[in-house]
Amino acid sequence: MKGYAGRYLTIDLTRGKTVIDRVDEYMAINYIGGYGFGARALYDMLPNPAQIDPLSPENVLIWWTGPLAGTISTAGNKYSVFAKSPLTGIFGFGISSGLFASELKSAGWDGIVFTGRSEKPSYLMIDDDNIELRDASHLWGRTTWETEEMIKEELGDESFVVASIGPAGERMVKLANITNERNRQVGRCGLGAVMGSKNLKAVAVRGTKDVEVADIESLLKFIADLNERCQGPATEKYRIYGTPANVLVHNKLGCLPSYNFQRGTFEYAEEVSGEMMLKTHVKKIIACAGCPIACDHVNQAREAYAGSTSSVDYESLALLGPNCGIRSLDFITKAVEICDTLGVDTISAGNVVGWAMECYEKGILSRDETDGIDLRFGNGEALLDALRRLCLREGRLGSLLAEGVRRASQIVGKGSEKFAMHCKGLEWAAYELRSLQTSTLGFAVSNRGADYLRSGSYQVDVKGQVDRLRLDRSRGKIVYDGENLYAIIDSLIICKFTRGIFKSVDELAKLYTLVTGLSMTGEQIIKAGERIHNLARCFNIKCGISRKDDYPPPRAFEDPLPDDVVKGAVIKREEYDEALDGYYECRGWNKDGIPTKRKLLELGLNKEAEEVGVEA
Amino acid sequence: MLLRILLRLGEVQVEFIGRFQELFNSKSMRVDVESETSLLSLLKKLGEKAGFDVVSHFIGSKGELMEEYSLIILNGKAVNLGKLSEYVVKPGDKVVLSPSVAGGG
Ligand code: SF4
Repeated sequence: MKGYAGRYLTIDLTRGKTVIDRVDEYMAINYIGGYGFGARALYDMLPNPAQIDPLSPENVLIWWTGPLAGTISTAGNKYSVFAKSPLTGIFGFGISSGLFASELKSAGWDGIVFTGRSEKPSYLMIDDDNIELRDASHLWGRTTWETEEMIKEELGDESFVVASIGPAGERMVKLANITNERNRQVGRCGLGAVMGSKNLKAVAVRGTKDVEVADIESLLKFIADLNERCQGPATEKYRIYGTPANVLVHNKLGCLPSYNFQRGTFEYAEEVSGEMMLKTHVKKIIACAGCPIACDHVNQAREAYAGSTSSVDYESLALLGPNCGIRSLDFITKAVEICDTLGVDTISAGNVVGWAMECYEKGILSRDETDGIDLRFGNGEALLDALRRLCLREGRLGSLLAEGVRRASQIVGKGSEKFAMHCKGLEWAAYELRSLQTSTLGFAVSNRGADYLRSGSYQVDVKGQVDRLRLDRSRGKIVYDGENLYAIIDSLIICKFTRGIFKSVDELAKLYTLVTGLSMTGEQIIKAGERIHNLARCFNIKCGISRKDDYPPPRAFEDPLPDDVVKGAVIKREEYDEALDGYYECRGWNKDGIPTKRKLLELGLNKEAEEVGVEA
Repeated sequence: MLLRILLRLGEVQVEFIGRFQELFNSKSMRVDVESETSLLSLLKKLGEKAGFDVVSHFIGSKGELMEEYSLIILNGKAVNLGKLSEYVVKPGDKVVLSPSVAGGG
């Protein structure tokens, strides 16, 4: 089989031992790569996940590429990381892009599995077959950007690609991420904290081998066609303004979260829009390896923060901007830079600071508890100060926010849990809950928690294909279909921004076959998507997840939106229940959200049917 | 003044986002509609005013819906591009033309 390197590394950090294992055809066909491989490995390596402390040496940290990484495939250079999440206590997963995936594959590896804990700070160097765990004591305390530069200098070659954690990961901040190439992150679920708990500061990789594909001539033709489609209308929105183009349209639809999701519009939306950003702040637009789209808009701040640079996407912008009442692109650019260099997820960070601002304005958090910071909505300096403290676990405020919004609200109490905007412990992303209700169902049932990347179910809401201010049973099918498709996109792994260029799922299967030589139809690949999704759910069931966890936060049901355009919008509990029932029905799960034996057996998940499955 | 206010009662307010701001070289425009008209007719009228084919930003040459490219909001509601001729627009309504939502969502 081609495309895959056919082998992966397992590194026991406690003993400093390395084992090489093979990736076989069974694994490839049934689990594809990325998400699929991660779900399989996590389920098998943590047979009793409920008993595992995510920050203990017993947790595992698993990195996988997909079959397309390192090939000429369009926007296919992504890698994924998995562990039991310290933020959510369930299936933890994140994807990043850049050059890391293709470099790892070119070094001859599909993935890396870390077990145990290194005695002292260390980093892993992979130089083709030369694998070395090196001392990282001198890197401990350094930002992600400094770490990257220092490692390249130490190894004497700029072409090493580095993925590292910042001080936040070292301190096991629950929102800590993993950064490669300065501004690409495995953002969500606090996987940087798992890396920190293992005393693993970074992974540096250089590869010199060719990645072979099965049918180069047909692949070249197909890729040329796909690349041409990438210049067409379906991806124009990414090329020109990048995802910040969403600010104004979300504002018009009443689905731009502001003031900790108290509202769905922002009165200063124009000032922080993609259009404004392009005019005043964008310094350059860059692309990931092998991507003809180039969506990454790198900003340069002005005035007080002149010199600060960061890559600002819609989610970061909306959560650190409107959600915290911030109307200045300078503050937002600086805020993203703080998160990126110290190493936390911008989405979760903007969400938890927004929550703290609401607590402060409501008198739930005193000025003493905010370490003297005047944490009002709209106070840019306060945002930056709070972020630095969060990343460094500094003071009372920093220690509180470092736990993430679910735990922080449980500590503070006083009703603040009601406006802690998360699901299963993962902070809600920048899609308003009450004005995009199909999207809300998709977020809430996701395996990762409040996840904006697992089903694309917002699309029917914004395309006017359903009444987005209501829910009904049929929405379950929409989420189900989206999840199965996205499970494949995340296993291959290709950039979701290219999804509009594929005419059908058959084309995804064709791409897989041309690269790997393994025959695959659209129907088979979607079945694999369903298998992968169910496998991750089974892991979560073992962690204690059930129907009770598949609900959005109370604000979705209790606080009608005040904004003119969607005035009074709120989710009706009975409608939500109905939609959730519809979703479980499509999935072949029981009323409590547990997969049935029958469904698991149908998907070939025999072990899971035995361990987790229920009778109908 | 009164006359102007009365006249505006016969107008639809159209706002532009992103690419449409550049195409129309404006953030918004008022379009006269005598009474009720379809959204499709309104787009055609806008095209006549602006001198380019506005409809083609929503419906492709083969009749395909350009949902990954553009979207329309009518009085706060997202419009199904497959039903442009069924939506009724009347004086006082607000229409937004925008590139479609860009995201992983
Ligand atoms: S569309 Fe953007 S995020 Fe996706 S691969 Fe291309 S540059 Fe990277």
